[in-house]
Amino acid sequence: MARRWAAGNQRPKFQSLRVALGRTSRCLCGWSTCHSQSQVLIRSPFWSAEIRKRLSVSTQCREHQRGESAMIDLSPKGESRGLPRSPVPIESELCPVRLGELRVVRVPASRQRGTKRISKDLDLSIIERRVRVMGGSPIVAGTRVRVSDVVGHYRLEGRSVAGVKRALPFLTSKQVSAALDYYVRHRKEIDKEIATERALAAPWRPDST
Amino acid sequence: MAARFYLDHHVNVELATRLEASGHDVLKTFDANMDTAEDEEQLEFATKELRILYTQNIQHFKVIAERWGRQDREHAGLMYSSQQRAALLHQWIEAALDLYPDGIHNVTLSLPVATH
Repeated sequence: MARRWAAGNQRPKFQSLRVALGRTSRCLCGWSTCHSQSQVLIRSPFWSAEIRKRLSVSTQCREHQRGESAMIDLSPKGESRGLPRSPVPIESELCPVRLGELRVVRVPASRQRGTKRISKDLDLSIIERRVRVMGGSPIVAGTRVRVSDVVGHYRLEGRSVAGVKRALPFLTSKQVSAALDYYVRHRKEIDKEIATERALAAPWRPDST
Repeated sequence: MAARFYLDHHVNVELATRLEASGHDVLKTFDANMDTAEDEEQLEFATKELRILYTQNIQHFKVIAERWGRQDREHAGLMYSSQQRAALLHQWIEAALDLYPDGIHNVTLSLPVATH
């Protein structure tokens, strides 16, 4: 990215687009039952042909107040090296961002505030939600480990990634850091889940035994 | 009393080691190739294997256990608690087993959590 911005030594002004998802698309908030259709805000320093390959996508679902932002590679063959691919193949039925279906509307500059700093490292495919696995809580993809479980192990095992891996040896460091990263970004949501679990567990106080 | 356990995927492996050391038969989700199984499949699998399912997902398994109760479906025992140190959990589980000398078939137990 740095190389691209080197010309004139100035970051290009981002052009923003607000994109409405096509009717068949899933909402990007991650709930497969959500029909509110996230607003996808696409920021790209490039235009036309380039926008089909590299997009900074930030989404915010109005109903569930959650979303992600990331730079993702939308080119069918993965031409943008070093960027995470779209979580599902572009051609797939589940692809949240299908360019063919997007209505692209310019957003006036006055309404462009509130977009988060975009992290190139965020890999959208590591944390997922599945309605019937752990009741739809955010989990490490392909496991039955919630983000809140990782956070719990992290706290109990000396606050280190190695500690979490000792407790759950099948996780990779990348998965653990992605879960912790998710926690940092969605602190309120995960803290609420941990509090709910604690409230449901049978209380025990030293004097009651 | 030795019991048969089935531990959910997110449970600390130290607990499995400790339970095995005290003579229980322990199966982990990972070893049963059930890593990506749905919640209800977990309980069905544990029932089929005649094992006590231990999970730290209280809020969702509580609902499933209650629904099974209404539908007169039996399970082979379900224990849940929120996350805490493996050593402490091990003590709770042993204490719970002692309370039920006839086994905990179709019993849902919520293990205590220390409040600070």
